Amino acid sequence: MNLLRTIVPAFIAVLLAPMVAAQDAATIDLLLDDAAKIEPGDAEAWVKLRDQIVAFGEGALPALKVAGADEKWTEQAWPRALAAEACRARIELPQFVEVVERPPGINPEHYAKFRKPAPTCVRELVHPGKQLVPMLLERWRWTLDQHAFSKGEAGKAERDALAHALLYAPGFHADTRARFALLAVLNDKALPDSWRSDAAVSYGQTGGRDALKVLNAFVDDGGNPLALREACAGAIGWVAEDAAYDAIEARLANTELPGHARLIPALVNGLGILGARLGWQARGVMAKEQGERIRENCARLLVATLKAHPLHGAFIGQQLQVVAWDKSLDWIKELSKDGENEAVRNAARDIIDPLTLTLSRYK
Amino acid sequence: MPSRNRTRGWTILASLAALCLIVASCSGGSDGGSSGGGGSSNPPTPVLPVVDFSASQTSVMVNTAITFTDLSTNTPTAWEWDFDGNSTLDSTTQNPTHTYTVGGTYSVRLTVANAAGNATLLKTAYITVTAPVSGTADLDSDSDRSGTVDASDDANENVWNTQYGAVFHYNIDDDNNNNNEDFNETTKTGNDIIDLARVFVRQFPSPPVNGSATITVNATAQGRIRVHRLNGASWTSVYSTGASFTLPLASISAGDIELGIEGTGRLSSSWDGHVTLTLEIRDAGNVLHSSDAIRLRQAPPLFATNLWPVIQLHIINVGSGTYGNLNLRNSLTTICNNAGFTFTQIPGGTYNNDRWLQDSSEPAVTQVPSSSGPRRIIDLVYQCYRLRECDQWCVDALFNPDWELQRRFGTVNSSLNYGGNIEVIPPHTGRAWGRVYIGGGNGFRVGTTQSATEYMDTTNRQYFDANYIQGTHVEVTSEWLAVGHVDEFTMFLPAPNTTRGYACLIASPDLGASVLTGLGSGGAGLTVFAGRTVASDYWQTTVGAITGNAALMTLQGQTQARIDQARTQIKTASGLTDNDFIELPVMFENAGSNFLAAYNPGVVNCIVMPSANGTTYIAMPDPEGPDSGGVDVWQQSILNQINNPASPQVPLYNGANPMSLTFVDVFYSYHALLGECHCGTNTRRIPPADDWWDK
Repeated sequence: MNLLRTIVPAFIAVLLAPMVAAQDAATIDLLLDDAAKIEPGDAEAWVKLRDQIVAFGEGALPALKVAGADEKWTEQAWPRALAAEACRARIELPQFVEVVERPPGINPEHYAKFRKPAPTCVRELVHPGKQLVPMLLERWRWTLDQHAFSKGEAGKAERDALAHALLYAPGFHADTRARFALLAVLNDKALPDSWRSDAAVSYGQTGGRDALKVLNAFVDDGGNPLALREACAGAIGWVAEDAAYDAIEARLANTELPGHARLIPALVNGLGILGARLGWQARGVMAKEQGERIRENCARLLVATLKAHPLHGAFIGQQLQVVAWDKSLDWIKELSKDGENEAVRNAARDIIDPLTLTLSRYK
Repeated sequence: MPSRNRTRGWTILASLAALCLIVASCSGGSDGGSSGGGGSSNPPTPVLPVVDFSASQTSVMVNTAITFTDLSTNTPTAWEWDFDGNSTLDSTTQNPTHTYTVGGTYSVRLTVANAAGNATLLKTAYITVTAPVSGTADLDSDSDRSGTVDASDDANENVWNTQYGAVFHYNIDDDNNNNNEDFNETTKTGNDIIDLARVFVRQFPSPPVNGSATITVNATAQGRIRVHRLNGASWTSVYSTGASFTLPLASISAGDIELGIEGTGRLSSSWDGHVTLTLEIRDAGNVLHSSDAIRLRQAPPLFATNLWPVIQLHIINVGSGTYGNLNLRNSLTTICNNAGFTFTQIPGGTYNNDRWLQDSSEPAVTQVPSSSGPRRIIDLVYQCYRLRECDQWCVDALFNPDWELQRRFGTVNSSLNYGGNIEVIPPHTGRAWGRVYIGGGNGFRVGTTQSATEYMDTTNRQYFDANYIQGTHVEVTSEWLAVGHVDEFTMFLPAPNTTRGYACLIASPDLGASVLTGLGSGGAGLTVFAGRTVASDYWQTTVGAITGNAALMTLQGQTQARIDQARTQIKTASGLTDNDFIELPVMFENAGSNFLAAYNPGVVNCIVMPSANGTTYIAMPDPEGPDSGGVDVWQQSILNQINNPASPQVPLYNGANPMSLTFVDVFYSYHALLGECHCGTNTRRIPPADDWWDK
């Protein structure tokens, strides 16, 4: 009898468990549907709903994983996927909830300890890795201002520091899930240019070829703020594709581009990023061939740009160091002798020493 | 001039008058009788004399006899002369002769008397006696820098160069411990007297009559020095502002006058420390008789280089716990015990646990010639414009009779003004005491075209430029850093086995990354920053997570190019070559708004401590790299670089000059807070046994 008393309830529970889980999953799905409809910045609605989902605990994880799978982060449905992944992260990574909700780096008592006592929380929000990105995007979309910022200028600096970190982290981790969230920031003219610029870079790091089209358009549109166009020009370099090289080459050549002269350093920066030796090294052996091709192209284009714009020689030289293409030193040496004018020859001459040093590190 | 008792003199005069009356009466008074007429026997009625006199010359040279002639009427019978108007009887002769022996303008008084009474006439400033001027204007200072002022100082006293020219110093110590710079005090006593550079105004035995003795101060030095005069046993201020000051001629004619000079203004763009004092002796008509000039210069601060032996190390004790510095303090205690350094731990509670002691101030010394040795060394600390708690430590602990405090100045509270951003390239060609270098510039944030324009405050930069021994300053690019200090990526250290005698540690993000990529695919899973897992400040990661992150790796190349730019700037300014640099693995990351900080503990930001025992102790942040085969690969890279057999520095330390390198834990206590161990300490060092003024 005792055995029956023990076994029967357990047996019944096992039989019912899938039904309960299915009920929970359905509830969670409904809650996520509601979450997707919550307006950005509506912290109260979001937190109320989020807490309902998180209350399911680990039992919610299967449903959340399905709802937050990478392929669910589409242009239309990404807020729902974000809600799912943010909740999942809160359940799986409870130790990091506090740092996301109250980053020490924007707490005056903590940042007073810094060598430079200004608010910044990039490191603490980036170091835990890609796993934190959903919670950071959640913070961006719904609870950015759910924070006891200081009053006055200090509070503005704290808020700005938090926004920068939230927008920087997804790109740093190349988390493609974030691309549409970042695109939304880039397109939001009501936001500060500096935030949109941060988003542009992160978008370049996460958006792939789709991002390239958007970034090109932003660069080309003279009606956009120059700082934003510059950020977009640099961000093109984060799209590790031949098409990105083509985009930069075309824009360097297009003197009809509004504000062309002002955009040259930003496009040069894009070339440095695109051709970066260490960047391609990080992308692994599978990308090696593509990387070699792109790096050589970038190096050639940088040298060509030096001929046309020797006044930017120092900056171009730094990008050549970043690209670190072996033969670029020969090209620069030739230019230092055969450059068509003194400005070009001098600019090339100034690059020889640092570029030689750079290349010596890779021998 | 002889003096007589005035009362007794008039008694005699009265007796003489009475006697004259008696004589006149007894003799029938022929004069009186004839004037009275009529054979009358009545004596004549005496009439008061009308006094007058003249002098044979009224303008003479000294020692020329002057005859005074009585021109009085009504028959005076007695005369009293006072030749210098001092109411002292000088002669009773009617027509005396007098010789003046001292130049000057004299009033002459004559009093005459007869029986009717007396009358007096004073002729004011009647006689002008001109003295032959005897003497020459002579100012002496310690122009040969022997520590004493003597006859040998006359030669070349009006020049200031590597051989000649006196030295004084900016008197910013606190000999009476009242927390007030001594130059603010108008009287000098006790130890403060030694802080005055001596100047002597030599005796001028016979100065021009009614002339003047004036010392003028050159325009740029006006208001930047104070001059004191020794009167008996006390010193009093005779100059602090204006173009000149005067000295009494009588004092100069009586003997030498001893003056003491101190600086009251710092070196700046409008004053390079030079002072020219010119003594002018002029006559009554303001015509220059003679003059003498001396040239002095205010001693500059000599900022410490890392080659100077350490005698004391300071640190703020911020306790234990996650952000406490117990581990570092324990390590430094051991190092200081071994090296014989004084290790001073300052209670953090006093300064709200502001731990960045390096940033509060920059250590230096100043030197002036000394009579007791070749030079007198005065510790000096330059307090940075920072406005944070432990700045007060400079006042509390360092400002005293033997430690000068150059208080902060400037107007902009930028982290670039902090002490960590002031370092010294050690001695090199044309720079026997090295050259100050600081960080700042106008460029882009790394990897972006966002503006990064930040400089040390102009006033500070001008201060370094005015430092004629260690200036003009060299500015290297650091505006791309979150904090912005040169000590975040450069640090000089002794390299006694090299021709130059030192080398420069320089951060290499490229090396930091390549050490990790060099581990290959097998190393991808190794842990970096192992155990740094405080959830609110999480750092632990893997080699693969780092080397596979295109953004982080690209940033290393971009940062390397920026550091190379700074390296070029140092090379250009100093003549150093690439062989003088030792690259150490330091990766960088975005620390906010695309301004960078060290990713792994910045090993270049180490404490370099040469000691009197010949060993150079180095406390270097533990880079906390991955362990491969039981070895921290970043630590190993550091040791390889320092003892790189392919470099000319090899071996940096051996035999009599060993190195003792200790990796210290600064991870949460400093690194996570945007600094390292150099940032958190301050050293007191001994300067070389050498004079700055002959370089």
